[in-house]
Amino acid sequence: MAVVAGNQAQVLLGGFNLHQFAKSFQVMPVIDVLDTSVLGTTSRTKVTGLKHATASAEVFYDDTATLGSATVLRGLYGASASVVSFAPAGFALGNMVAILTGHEASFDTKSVVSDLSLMSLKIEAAEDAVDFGVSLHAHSAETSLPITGTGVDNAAATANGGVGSLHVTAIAGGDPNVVYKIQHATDNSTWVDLVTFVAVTAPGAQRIEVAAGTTIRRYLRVLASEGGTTSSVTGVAAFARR
Amino acid sequence: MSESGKRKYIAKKGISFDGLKGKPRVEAGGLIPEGVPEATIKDLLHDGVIEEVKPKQPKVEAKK
Repeated sequence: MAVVAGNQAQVLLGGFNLHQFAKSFQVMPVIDVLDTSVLGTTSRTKVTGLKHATASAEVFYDDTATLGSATVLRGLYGASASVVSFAPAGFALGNMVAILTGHEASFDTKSVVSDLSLMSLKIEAAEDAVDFGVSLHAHSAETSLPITGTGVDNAAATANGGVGSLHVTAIAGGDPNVVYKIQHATDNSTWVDLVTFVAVTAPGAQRIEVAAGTTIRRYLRVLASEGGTTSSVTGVAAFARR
Repeated sequence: MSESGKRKYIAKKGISFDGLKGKPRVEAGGLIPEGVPEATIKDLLHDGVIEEVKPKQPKVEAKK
């Protein structure tokens, strides 16, 4: 049994390193289960309906300008959906990543005399519930470009597209600009561009879907190239097959 | 020109050929380099990642 300690979990919210403030994080995929029972039957029959997902977190309250948890979460209040990537075992290459795009539904702030002030964050998926994929690059800084990631072997090709996510939590340089791509290969040798993200010049996140019916080859990797003058970039790319 | 005789192929998407010397990369619209194995060419054609460059047909004018 390959158990995972909870302290290994990492979570990125719109390019923001949430796990440095979070005590806990959970993703809850759900699906409607609809009753089709009719007269004369002796037990219920059910079918599945719509999928949905929510996420929640307990986050320490930090009001530091720009980068504090409270400042960031207040900024998401009423904003457009954010990309969330959650890795229960961390973003090391090949680890499972849950990817969703969601709205900040609530962030309750609570202060108790005997404890640190905490925020309870709730996120609701804006579409597509949640996808489960693999990390293609750990959450670590790279100071030399281009970055050619190691291929992740998913054992077989799939035929129904998927979704790629990218979070960049830090980028620096005279004119920082990095173009990330996700590539796929049949043989871990000839790599075809699958997803090309918009050039990154500041911390943020992107999520790009690959159309249903598209063949995703067996191997996946990330490629990042210099588009300006970048001294360092910290990014996580992941891809989930459908 | 690929290994397939005189046939030429154009990339429809960016491709990185890590199996070739120098690990060349071709952007969409670029010519596929020499030395790509036939099996790889077939695979890329099948998936619509590359397409063959058809030689231009000479113009034939009708005799007046």
